[in-house]
Amino acid sequence: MKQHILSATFFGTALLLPCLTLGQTPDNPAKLALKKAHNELASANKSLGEQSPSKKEAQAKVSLARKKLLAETAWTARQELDKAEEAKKAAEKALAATTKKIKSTKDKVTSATKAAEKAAAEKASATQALEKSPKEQSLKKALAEKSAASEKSDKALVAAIQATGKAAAEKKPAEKLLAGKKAALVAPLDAAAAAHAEAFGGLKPISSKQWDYAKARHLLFRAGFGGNPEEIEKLVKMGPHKAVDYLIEYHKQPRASIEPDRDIYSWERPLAYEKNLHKEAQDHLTRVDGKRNVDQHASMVRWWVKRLIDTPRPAEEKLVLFWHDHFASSYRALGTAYPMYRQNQLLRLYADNYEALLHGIVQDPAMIKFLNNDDNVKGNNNENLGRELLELFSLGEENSSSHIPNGYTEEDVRNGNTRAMTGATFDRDASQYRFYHDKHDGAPKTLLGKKGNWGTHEAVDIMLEHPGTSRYLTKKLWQYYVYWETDPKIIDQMAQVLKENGYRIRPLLKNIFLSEEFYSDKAMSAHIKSPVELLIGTAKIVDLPKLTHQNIRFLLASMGQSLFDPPSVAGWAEGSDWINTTLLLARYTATANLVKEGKADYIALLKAKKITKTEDAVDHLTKRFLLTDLSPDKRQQLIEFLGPLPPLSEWESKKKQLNAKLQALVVLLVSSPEYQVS
Amino acid sequence: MSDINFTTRREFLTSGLGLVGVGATALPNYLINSAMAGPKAQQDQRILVILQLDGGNDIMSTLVPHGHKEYYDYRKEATRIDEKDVLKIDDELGWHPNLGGWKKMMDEGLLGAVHGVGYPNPNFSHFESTNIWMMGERGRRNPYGWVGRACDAGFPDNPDPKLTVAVGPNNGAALALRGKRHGGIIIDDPKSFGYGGAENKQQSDLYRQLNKKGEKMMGGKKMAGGELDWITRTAVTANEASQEMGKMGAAYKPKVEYPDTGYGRNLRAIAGLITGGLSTRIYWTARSGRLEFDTHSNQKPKHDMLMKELNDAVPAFFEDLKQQGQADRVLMCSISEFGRTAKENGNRGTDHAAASAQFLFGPGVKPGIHGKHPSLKAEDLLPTGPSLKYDTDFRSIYATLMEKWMDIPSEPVLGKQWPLVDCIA
Repeated sequence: MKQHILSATFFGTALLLPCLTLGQTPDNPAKLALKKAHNELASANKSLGEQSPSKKEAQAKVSLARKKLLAETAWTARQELDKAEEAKKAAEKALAATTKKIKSTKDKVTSATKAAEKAAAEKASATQALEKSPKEQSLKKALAEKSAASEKSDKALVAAIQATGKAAAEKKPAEKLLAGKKAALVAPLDAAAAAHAEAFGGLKPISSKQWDYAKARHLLFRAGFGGNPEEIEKLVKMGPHKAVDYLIEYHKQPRASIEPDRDIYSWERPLAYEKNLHKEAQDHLTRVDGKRNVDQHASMVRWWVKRLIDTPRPAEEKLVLFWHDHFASSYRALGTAYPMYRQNQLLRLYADNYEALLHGIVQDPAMIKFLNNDDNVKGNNNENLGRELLELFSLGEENSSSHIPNGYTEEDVRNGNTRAMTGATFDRDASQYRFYHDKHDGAPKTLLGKKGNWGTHEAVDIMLEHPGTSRYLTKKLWQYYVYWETDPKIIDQMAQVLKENGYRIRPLLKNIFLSEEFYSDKAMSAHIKSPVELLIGTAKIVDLPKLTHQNIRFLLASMGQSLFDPPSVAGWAEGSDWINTTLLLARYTATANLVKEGKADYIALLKAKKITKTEDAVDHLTKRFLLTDLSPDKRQQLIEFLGPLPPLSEWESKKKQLNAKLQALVVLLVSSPEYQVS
Repeated sequence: MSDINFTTRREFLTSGLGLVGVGATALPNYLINSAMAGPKAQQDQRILVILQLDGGNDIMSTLVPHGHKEYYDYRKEATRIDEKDVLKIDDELGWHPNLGGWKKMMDEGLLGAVHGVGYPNPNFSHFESTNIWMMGERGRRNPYGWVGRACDAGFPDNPDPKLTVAVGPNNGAALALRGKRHGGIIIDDPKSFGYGGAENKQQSDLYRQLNKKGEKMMGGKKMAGGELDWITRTAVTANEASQEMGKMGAAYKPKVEYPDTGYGRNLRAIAGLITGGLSTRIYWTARSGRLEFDTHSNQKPKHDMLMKELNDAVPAFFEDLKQQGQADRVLMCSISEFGRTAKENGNRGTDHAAASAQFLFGPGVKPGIHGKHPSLKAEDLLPTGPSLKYDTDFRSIYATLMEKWMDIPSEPVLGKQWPLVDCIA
């Protein structure tokens, strides 16, 4: 903590200097507040330095003053950023006005030219007419008039041409001004991000200067499911701040309008007489129900896979997948897949809001059924939901009393929380939450040291208050997005960010994705892709026109990640557990199958990139598929495998063989250790 | 979720998995390949099979304490097995009615049970308790599981990665099998174990080349290998082992018919590898890795089915091994992360609890009931649950398996000398 304060002060002052010099108006409220905060900190520090009698009080004052200072610093930086944005907008406007002016002067030249030509023609015909009848006075007069008019339009034309030149000359400075304003924006953008992170106690962000292709690719693969070089270049151009906003402020992107290919809520109610049927008929009905359940599940997986690939909001789906693992339940235990579909919608609706999710999951029919809370009634307790809420969904087992002093106890599980959850059940027919008061145990109970007549949602609030919850969740998010071996100091720091933001996930993710730590050597290419990341990523790296979502379903299952069907309530064992001898070969085989089935047009891809040489083709495909480079000897082997490419003129006629060879090369690239990490 | 702490996991990634320990990361590929060929199994080499009953088996519905009056108080209705249906061993205990095959094995001297198995301060989380059983210790002080450590201690000069093989789902097996030098091979089924992406020899040869060790480069600069090195080593092991095991799996002709269940298929595959002469010394298997023994509600039909599956699969396995002339060198031991509550809950099921019994199978066991049956008296139960109290620490069973069956010193593996259980002949 002490170290954190020290670095904060150092960082804060370093950052303040440019901001203070930038602010010109003396009565700028942000500046005044900043000055005040500075003074408060100085006097608070002084009272501490003077061996004040109440040291604790003085320390609290320093701490408060520091928080104020950080917040004011962030606010000032944001004001600067807004100003720079405005200046950029003004420059853009000026440039637009200049461009408009150039256009209108050009239009004027066109019309003046026309007028001049017309006047000249009229003058010519007046001259002709006078030549025919030289004595005619009226013709003489007409010629004089036309000559004057022609001279006038000629002059107007010259003036118009001159105006064009002048307007065009204005364009360059306007462009220069805009470029300057754009460049000037980078500094406050960096400063605002740094100050904002500092105010929230977050991690130090990278500067825009450090932004490059490798980092943009890293971001796209971690925040979402990856993409092709064109998409990565787009993020490179945006710079780190805009790129992170573009991905994480996903609610600003259009919603994916992708529906399941069949009606998921369509089962027929069991009829009353059916339970009195003879055994064979009942067995038949059971088989029909079972098959319908499997079909529903298949349909849902196809739907989600399509969505994972095609959504304009990949970061949203990435979060939903995180929650599906965190709040794991399986269609298998439910007898119908529909509640899992509903649960998936819940996870998407509140993907950014953990508090809402934890409150939502205790009244989620799928979870209630999966963890038998429909059996948890007053006097006859079933501890399954009460246990997993503490052990897996909120504090985590690492915050149980066997690991930390104020952790949850077996008594909290079996008595406090389990009894708080009594009466929370669901209606089978509608798959809707129901709470039955007469089945709820309303007597006092103790949960995490707090005594009261806790019901379902009071218990959830108690879990949310415990400091273990934000730490555990932050650690899981860090492992999902950054790297596996967490640093407790970073986790504590980020848990604070999560809590300060009321358990909203996006602010935490924005800080993570801008942080130096996220782009450190420890994080880059150190993540073992989950099967979903592996396959969806492949489909996003290259366009696979013949791909079927049905096949992806089977491929995912072969690698141990069947969607809507995690192996247990603890979700999937992630990280290095995605790889063992059998799973690794399953991954290679599945990805190879996907590439073969998808039949990409590699010829078109190389043509678009103007690639004609073998070496360039190997390098491009390597860069497209792998984050790490291949070692020189592996690269050489691939070049030899592909062999010399025929001249461009023969590509069309040899399309089939050439595509087959390139596809074989891609199969090898994805069946490699390098392709398993991102 | 695997959850190994920072420093130790790094150690695991850089030095763990199989043969790499021999010459660290610098071991050339041709050496890895020759190590992979491994010594052929010798006919007298003993084999241990671990049978996982994940989810926490209800021991009172497996080894029924029909002679204890408390049993009828605790198990009122939904999870009670009527005395007339129990396959009695003695006046005190008897088998679940579906375990006729097990009873026969015990009568023939092929089955022993150790009662009252557990550990102090029990943890009632599946995942944490499974971890404790897989690691053989609490507190996650090191990244290697007990089987991996046993191999490191027992076969220090043998780099063969096939010393440990898990067949079927892997609920904890990956963790238990992890050793500093021996990583274990985890497969679904030997017949389908292999790379299916290559279409011709040229492609398959290059696939092998690309899956050998190369430097990790980024932006033209060399980087620390970490995960990538580890994946590469896994690939080398998998590619070599898959050829040998695939052939054995395809060629195997069992002498008995196995049931078409998770246990049946996995044990059939293990019998094939043992008979085929694979150099593996410790096998691991489970049913489907879905905590199926976790019977909180409506327990009876589920548990009855599980008993039937075990009863159909285990005796078939040993009968097959016997006819193949392999049975004498094979010993199988069950594990399950915890027991279930003495009393049934209000939902026709039972909840997580402490002590349970574990089973040993094979000609090498000392038949009968070992250990101390926990008292069922209300005042003797552990209040949490309530649970049966343990008397034999599960590490005493591990130590016994190592010392009495595998001839591996247990103290360096388990940190101290646990008292042995007299359950092996």
